[in-house]
Amino acid sequence: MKLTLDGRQVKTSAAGGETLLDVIKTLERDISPERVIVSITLDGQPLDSHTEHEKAALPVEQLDSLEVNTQKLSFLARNTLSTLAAYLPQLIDMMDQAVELLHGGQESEGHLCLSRLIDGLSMANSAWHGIAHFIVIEDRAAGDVMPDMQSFLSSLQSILEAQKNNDVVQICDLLEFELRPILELWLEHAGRLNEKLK
Amino acid sequence: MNTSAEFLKRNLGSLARRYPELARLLLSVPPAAADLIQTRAGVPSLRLKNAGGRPYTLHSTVDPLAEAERTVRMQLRPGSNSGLVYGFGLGYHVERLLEELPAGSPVLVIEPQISIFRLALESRDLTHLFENQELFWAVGEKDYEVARHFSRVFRVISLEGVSIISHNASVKLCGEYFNVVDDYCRKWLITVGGNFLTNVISVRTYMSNTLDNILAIVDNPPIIRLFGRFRKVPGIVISAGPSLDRHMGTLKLLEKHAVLICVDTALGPLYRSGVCPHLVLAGDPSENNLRHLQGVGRTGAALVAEPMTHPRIISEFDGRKFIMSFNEVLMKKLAGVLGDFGRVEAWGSISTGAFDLARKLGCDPIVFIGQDLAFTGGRYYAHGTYQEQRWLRDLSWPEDLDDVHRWRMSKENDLDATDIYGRPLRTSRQLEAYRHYFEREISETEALVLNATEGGTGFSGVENVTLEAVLWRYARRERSVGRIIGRAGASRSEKEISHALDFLQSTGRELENVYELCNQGFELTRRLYQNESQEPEADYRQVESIYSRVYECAGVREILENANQGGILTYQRGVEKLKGNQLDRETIEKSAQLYGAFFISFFQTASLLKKKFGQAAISVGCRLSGHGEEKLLQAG
Repeated sequence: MKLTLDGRQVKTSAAGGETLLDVIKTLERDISPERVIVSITLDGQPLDSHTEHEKAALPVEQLDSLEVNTQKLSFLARNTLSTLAAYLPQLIDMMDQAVELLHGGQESEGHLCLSRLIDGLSMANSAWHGIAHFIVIEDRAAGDVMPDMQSFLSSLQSILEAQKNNDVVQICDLLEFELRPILELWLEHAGRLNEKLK
Repeated sequence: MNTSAEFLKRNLGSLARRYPELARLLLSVPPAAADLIQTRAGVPSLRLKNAGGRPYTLHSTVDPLAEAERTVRMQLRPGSNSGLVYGFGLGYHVERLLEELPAGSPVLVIEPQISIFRLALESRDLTHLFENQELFWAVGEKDYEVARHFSRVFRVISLEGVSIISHNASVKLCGEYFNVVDDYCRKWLITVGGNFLTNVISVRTYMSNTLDNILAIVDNPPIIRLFGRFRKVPGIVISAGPSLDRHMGTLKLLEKHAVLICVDTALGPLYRSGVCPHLVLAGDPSENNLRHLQGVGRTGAALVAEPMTHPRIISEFDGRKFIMSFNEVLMKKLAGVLGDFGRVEAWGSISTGAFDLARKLGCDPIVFIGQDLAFTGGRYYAHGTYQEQRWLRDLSWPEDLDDVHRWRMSKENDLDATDIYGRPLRTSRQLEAYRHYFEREISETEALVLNATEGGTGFSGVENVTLEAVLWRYARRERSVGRIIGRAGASRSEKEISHALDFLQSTGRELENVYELCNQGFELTRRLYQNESQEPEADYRQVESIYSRVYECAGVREILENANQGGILTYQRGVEKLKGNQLDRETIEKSAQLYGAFFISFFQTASLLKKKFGQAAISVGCRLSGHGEEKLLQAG
């Protein structure tokens, strides 16, 4: 099997193991804690987590080629931060749209938009955790990188409760008057962090 | 700080000035259970405690005013001049709507939940809304009752400008209710606005028929002579629904025990089955209704006709005749000269008139027969009606009569319903509307009302009985119905007829005057429009003066307005558009065009009516002089 790591060919024996899973695990161990695997291509085909799981037990002898790309964690975290800064305005727009739809009586569309918004919020939430974990900023404690999550989680909980009660007016109030200011704060915070990192 | 009791007292006092019944009702209703929340906008919001066991917020708990602004902004159409509001809540959106609409725009507020409305009255000062004469309220009413407000609130000339504003939190609490109201409303807007010309044509037809029927009016006794003459006598109201077929035998027995009142459609099937009703009603202006009675011969029934009915229905009817009135403008004027004819209330179907006649005669109980208000057995009518005979004649193989009934039903906007025995059947929206009308009228009727149709949907709150039960429980005694009807038939005096002649002649003269004025007015507007006028402003003032003089013809104004609704509508819509314009050259030109159209339409209407009144005067004159009409006409 031809094994390539970040564009450089590596001897298969260096990766060790008998199966595809063994090879990936060994590579992960070797590059941590500085770097993480960001993409894998197996026999010319991109390997997502699902196919990775399916093909985990394949013997190394049956594989033609394996290309692995890694990235430095801090670089990845910086990228995530800029993506988040670009994504938050979209989330705010989506929230305004959900409010308009729910308020205008188009409830099914409004709820659909709300569920997309909640998916987006949970991605943003995970992103913040990753960023806070891997970005180190001088004169700032790790906790300072993360914005206030308590009020966000409590708002989200209230929205889910109001959704359960089918209380549209309350949902709109929570989105507009609680969650929107939080997202605006996040956007501002992400901007400041970006500046600092530059 | 006001307490809820203070708010309630003040609001109820204000509401009671225009809606005393509603105010009384509100006093006896407990408010909905809710938390009143003070918002940062300084006004309260409400969170209901018991909407399906869960909290439910009616207005923003942060800024209800901004929310109301958004509600109205999102739903108010540009150019709106009236509003229909679904759901009141605490009324912020209604206040906002009134700010947005031009001053004086009528608004109808519909709030089905009276307990929430009571809560609103306890929560804030609403007196400014209750004092607003252009704001109308339909609170705690059934969905079908709401429709009656539409014609009172909205003007035909401004139907295009009606905006519907939904307070979605209130609407969601009563979704089905507002679906039905919305359906009624949109249909009403389409019917009144879209079919306006049809109405105009039918108004002209009924006026024309009434004048053609002038001799029948003066020669036959008014139905009022029979009012109250059948106190405590059972009255059987017979319609031509499919279930009528099963009652012929018992109805024959009832002839001597009750007053049998039937609609024109049912006379043929009844008579051919050996049943002789006492009274048959006719009130439809269309020639089609003539077919129901044509060729039936002498049945022994007396005809109760509204003179708007087709003239041949009255002239060809073989038997005693009475004149009733639906109280339209021309009959009101004739009643002023000849005395009260006896007003019968009818709504859409002559069977509603038959029911009201039974009430006015004093009948008790009043029993419905053949009033299926549904397509029982997949049929549209009872057997033997004129329609069925015509369908039978037109049948072509392999079609059978059931196919034709099905085809006819498919033309209706049909609905699922349940019959009085709990079985499924089909009905139509129109029949449902009649059912609602009957239910409302029945609830206001002193006499006992029973339904012996033995099929169909029945009426809520009305006992379903068999016709045999009616016979044995209420109609064992024989009654001299025919004799009472026969004695009421004295003809009118010459003096009365002479008064009618004076009325016809004076109205004819006044119409002649309007005709001349419109002619002059049109000539002036033509000159203005074609730039032939030397002094446009002076000529324009004269046009306005002629217009005022037309409206000063008080004797014929109401008749002309009724017969010329299309012309008035066009004129008023134009005036709305020109409102606020300065009187410059362009406005004069546009106004001249508008006045021109008005004068033409009034000229045509006056011309038609002048001719009809003239003919009617000749007929009555001949009747008085004892000369034949043809002879007089020949003599010029």
